[in-house]
Amino acid sequence: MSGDAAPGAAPALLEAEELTKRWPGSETAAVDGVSLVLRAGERVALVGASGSGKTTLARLLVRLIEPDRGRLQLEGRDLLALRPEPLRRLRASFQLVFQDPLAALDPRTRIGRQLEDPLRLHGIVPRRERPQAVAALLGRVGLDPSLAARLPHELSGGQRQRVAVARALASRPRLLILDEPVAQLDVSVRAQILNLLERLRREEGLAWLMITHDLGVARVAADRVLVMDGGRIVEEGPTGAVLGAPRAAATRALVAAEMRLPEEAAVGPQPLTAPSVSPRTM
Amino acid sequence: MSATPLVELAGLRVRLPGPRGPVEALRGVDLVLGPGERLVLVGESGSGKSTLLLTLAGLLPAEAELAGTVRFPALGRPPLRGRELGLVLQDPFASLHPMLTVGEQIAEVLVTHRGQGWRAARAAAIGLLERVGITRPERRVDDYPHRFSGGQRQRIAIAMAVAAGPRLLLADEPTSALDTVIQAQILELLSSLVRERGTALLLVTHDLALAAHCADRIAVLYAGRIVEVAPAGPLLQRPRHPYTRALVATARDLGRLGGGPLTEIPGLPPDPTATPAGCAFAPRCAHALARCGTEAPAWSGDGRAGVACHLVPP
Amino acid sequence: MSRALARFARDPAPLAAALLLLLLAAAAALAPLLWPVDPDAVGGPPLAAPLADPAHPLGTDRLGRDVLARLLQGARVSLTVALAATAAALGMGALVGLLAGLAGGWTDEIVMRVTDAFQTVPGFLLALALVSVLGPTVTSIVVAIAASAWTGPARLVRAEIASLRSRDFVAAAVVLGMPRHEIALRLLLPNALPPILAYAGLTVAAAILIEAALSFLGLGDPNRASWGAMIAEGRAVLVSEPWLSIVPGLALLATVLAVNLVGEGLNEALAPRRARP
Repeated sequence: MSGDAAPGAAPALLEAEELTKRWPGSETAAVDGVSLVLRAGERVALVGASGSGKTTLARLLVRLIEPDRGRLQLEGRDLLALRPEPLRRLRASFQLVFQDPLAALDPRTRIGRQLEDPLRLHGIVPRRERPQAVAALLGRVGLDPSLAARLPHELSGGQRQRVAVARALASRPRLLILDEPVAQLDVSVRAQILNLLERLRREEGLAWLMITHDLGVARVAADRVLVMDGGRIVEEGPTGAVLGAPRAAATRALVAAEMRLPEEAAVGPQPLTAPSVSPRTM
Repeated sequence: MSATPLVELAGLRVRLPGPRGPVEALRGVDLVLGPGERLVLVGESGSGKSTLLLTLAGLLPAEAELAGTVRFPALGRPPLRGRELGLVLQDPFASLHPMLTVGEQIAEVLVTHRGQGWRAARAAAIGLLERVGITRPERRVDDYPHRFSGGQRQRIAIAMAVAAGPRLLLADEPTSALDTVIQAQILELLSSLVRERGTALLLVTHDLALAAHCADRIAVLYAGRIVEVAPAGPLLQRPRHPYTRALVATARDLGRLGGGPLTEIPGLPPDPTATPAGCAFAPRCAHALARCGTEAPAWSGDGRAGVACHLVPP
Repeated sequence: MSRALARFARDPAPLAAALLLLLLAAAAALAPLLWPVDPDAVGGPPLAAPLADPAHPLGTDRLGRDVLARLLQGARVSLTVALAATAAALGMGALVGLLAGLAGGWTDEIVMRVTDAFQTVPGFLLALALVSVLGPTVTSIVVAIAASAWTGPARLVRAEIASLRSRDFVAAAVVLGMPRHEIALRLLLPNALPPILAYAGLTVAAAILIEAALSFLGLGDPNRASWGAMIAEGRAVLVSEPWLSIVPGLALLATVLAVNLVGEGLNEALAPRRARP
């Protein structure tokens, strides 16, 4: 079923086949025979209720945890068969952004050094040029280079997630897996981060798998959506079709429970004395 | 809405001690809540929404400095927690006693505040459990909290909060710890319970779309001040304050497929330890005038509806 | 860390205790300069009472040796043994805990069963047995105490490592392509250390007491004065000349109390950092 909705031409980046993971002591599998294909430059969302297996799947896809069975290929290379050192080097090309940026940054290492890590680990930038490279990375995510000297707890939630995004992009990945990247952020900061992510995705030609419980995020950040329930992918297709006319029971429940603003009235907002609020991309 | 108000706040200021110096959590709040009314306070972290709720519940820490007035005209005195005021908190795991059965916990409210006997209270507890949607309540009444899911626990916490028939129910992000599918059910339950009992509801959330689902009126809080209050419909259809407009626009963008960038509010929420000279939103406002940075906008309106912005004609 | 120090300094009791320990350590280290009296020389009449003769402010023992000089030498032995034993125990414990926590699986299982075995033997008995076998020297006392004290830090480090390994920033480092040894040394170990430092206070106090108890039983280094041995020597004249036991006893009590207070203060100062966002 995974091949159906994918745009035909783009080559497959990541292919998972029948991935299964059961946690010790649990009767049911957290991820139960999931197959999917992510193609170059594609925007895919993975939605589902909590406990549906989204995060476990994300961690399987980046090989943070070992599946009980199944196959996993990155651009044709078997990720599960790779020895530690080649796998470590290959990690430059697929990255994960975590839900809670404070938890995902080392509490006792300064931001600058944490941003240097991927540049050093993958030999991307020679040592002498790293400070400028770090400043450039911070600039790309809209942060002042002076933040390099700070510790994670000295930053706001939005700034931390920008740092985490910068760190994930430092090694020039082709695939980004984002695990609820805006769920822990303040409402007024969510749109900033989503816009930033989309801008960077275009600039880098990235593909992403956006994991979210928020259908609104799926709507703006994905062209194709996978719906997960009970460890399985129960529905898949273009975002508009799946969320507009859900077929699987789990999708219907998600769509029914979504809280949206009531339809806009014909009148619309009255103009302010200055021009009305316009989309901004800074 | 012309009945004696249940809650009346005027010029409320609250200063709390913080690790980096005192925090002006509330900087002059005027607000009126009528009996049976459902008011939703929308704000981000640090906006002062939880402080406002704690002030009403009488649960501010002893070191808090208060100025302005907090009155409960319909009661003539502060409400008694548990009897006249119910509280539903974010974390349903923290609000139930782990070593008492849920029946005992609900019955205790009735025995303490309604003077009922334990036998009658237990029967009433079963009725309440049924009302909040616990299936087969006569069998679950003697279970301990750990036997229930997060959503069920929040239902039980709601049953406890409304057991004594309070006049005012305060709810602090009651669904943000729950799964999306459960969120809507819990909100529906809260909303219908207060409706049928004539209880006033003050619910605090960061989510404007959630507010749209259970509010008669919405108050938008930013950096310790209410920037706009209005009945839910007009506020969502014709937001007046630039902050509210941006929030509404972002929420609407998230309802649309793909397309261009989302409406975004640039910058960061203000540092709570620093009191801004003018309008707290001015540094992030796309329309700010020179005076916005120096002169705090006056409140145009009353405790029921109004807006604080130099750009909005009174 | 500097914030933890500031928190530590805010509480008067641990601060006073820390000052007392610093004074004691300085006095012990500078004893030859401050009180240049040979602790083993017979320099006066036997059993002189304290505060009577300015040449012997704390009196003399049964052989006429100066009690103050012996007390200071005892402090050197006591503190050296305690610090060396604690350092050895923490080093050993951290290493074992790190390996067990990192390896997991069978290695972890075996290492932890060995740790259990050590822990089932009371620490003092183990030290007693080891000193009897190795002979009464300062080194063997240090080894004996460390051999019984490394298990606590080992369990603590292992538990910390196990919980740190499941934290997101460690997962993030794996995803970034950080090699295992760098994750262990740069992320896991430094983040696992604060609770160990707080634990060090307890170990130092216990080591001081074990050293005193060993020398009380005559298993101390016979060539050096030691508080435990001094208490034991005073026993023979306990009724007529009680100060001979009381003076070293008070020194022991004050030192152990101070170490415990400092350890507790450190614990308090380091703990909130972990709860805070």
